[in-house]
Amino acid sequence: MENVIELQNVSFAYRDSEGNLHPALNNINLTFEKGSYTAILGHNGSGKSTLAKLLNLVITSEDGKIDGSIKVFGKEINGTLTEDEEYEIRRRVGMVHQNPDDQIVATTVEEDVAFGPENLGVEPPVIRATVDEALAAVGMTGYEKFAPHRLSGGQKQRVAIAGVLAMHPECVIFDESTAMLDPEGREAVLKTVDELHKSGEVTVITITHYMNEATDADRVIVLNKGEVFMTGTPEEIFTQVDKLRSVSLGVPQVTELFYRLKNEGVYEGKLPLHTKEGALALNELIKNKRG
Amino acid sequence: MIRDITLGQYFPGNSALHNADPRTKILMAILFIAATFTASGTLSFIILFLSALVLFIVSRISLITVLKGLKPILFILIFTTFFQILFSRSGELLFEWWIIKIYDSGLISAAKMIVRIIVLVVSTSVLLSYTTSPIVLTDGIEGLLKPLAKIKVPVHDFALIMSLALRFIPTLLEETEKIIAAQKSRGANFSSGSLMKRARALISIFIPLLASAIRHALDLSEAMICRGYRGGDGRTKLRQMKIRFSDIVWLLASALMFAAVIILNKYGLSDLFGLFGA
Repeated sequence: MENVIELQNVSFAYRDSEGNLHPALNNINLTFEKGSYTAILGHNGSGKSTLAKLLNLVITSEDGKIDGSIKVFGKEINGTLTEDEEYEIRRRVGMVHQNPDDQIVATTVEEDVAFGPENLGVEPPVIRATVDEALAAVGMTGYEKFAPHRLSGGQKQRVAIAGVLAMHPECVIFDESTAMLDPEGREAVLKTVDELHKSGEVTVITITHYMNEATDADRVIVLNKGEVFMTGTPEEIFTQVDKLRSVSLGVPQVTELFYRLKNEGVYEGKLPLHTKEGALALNELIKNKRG
Repeated sequence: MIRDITLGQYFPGNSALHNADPRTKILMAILFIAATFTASGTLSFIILFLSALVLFIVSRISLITVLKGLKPILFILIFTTFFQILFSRSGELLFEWWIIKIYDSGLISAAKMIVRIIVLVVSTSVLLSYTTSPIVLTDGIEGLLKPLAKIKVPVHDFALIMSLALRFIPTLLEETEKIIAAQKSRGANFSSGSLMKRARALISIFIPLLASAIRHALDLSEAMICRGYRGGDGRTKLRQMKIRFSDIVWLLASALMFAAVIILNKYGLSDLFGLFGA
């Protein structure tokens, strides 16, 4: 499988206005395969957002000291790049931020989605087609003329995703994109992310501190104090409840429930990650107890 | 509800004026402003008034809306009319009582003043506000000022700042509501006490609002960079402005109106009657 992003011995320290360095990442070695879906977990200050921002040059050597090798689409980005090269990386690695309001620049939905292609200098008729396509991909067709402040948080965030998709990125990073949404909005955004991943064309990296959102990923990376603390499939990660707790992370609610049942000696078997899986296991458990 | 605020006084519609290019409308507004200030003859004022009437009819904006738009200037209208009538001391004396003397020239100049102000307000608001959304207007201004970019005037940047400001008005209003509620719940009092005290209480709204606006600006700039924004050079636009035949007709008609106002300044109402008599 082709690697979209390769990190080798990457360390990063922020430089403050007085020139002092504050380490944020320490010796990170990671690769992201084309078309994969990776969730990065970690509590505040673990360096997860810093990591994401390094990948699309939001953080550059101007912001601090970068060591090691960061290869994006085979291109080393820890070094001097021309402005065109920088913008090309940012186009190919799109990013959806936390606050939907701070990503929407235009006064109507369609113009906002058009913002990226406009910046790329795409011809107007092509922009039109791209915008329609991107809005359809996030299920927001019919909202073209809406003013952003008339949309719900989840709808705004889907518009923001459409804005990123309109630039035809090959990798999309979701930087805590559901953190400010209500459960309904979160559900809609997660569905969009899932569909994006299933389309197979886009590599998805989501950064989150909601454990439930990480269960659908191919791979989970847990960061702690700027270092990779654990990596593995969601099952491998979330069944190590004690280890996660040691870095003040929880597990999905249903996993937590079965972990406790197991400790009480009521349940034996593997810990479920999904609610439905849990419900079936619970049903089985009750049947067995009766019988 | 704060979500329903309208920006400017734009009334969406499909009239010939709604569909005209914003640049056309800005130029027309300039011609109307110039015409109102150059008009002096009675005939010119009649032309001016009729032209503004045409704009109003074509725009299909309701009379009530236009009258409401005139309400804020009602005081100025009455005030100037009053002074024009009372303090003119030339022409034929029409009415005299105690110290009040009303001359015909006073009545005429009062009427001209009223037409001047009404035409000025109605034509500019119909052209630039009622039939043009703020964002389209911004586009129009940018389009018209584009030649200035050649001499390094940051036209695109100003247009972007304008449109971002428009975009963030509802967001910041919503936040202001939240801040007011939060401060009230901590015992802030905005509605009683001396003026000084109330002004000081407002600081507890402004400071958090300012901080939040700066935070928005930082996040927004990051998001814009992520979406490939690098200034106006080489940028295309989804919404294309196009000068159509009807735009040219509008501009020519307005230019003719302006020319007519200047030419007719020399002639009075009596000349018109003389013309018919001959």
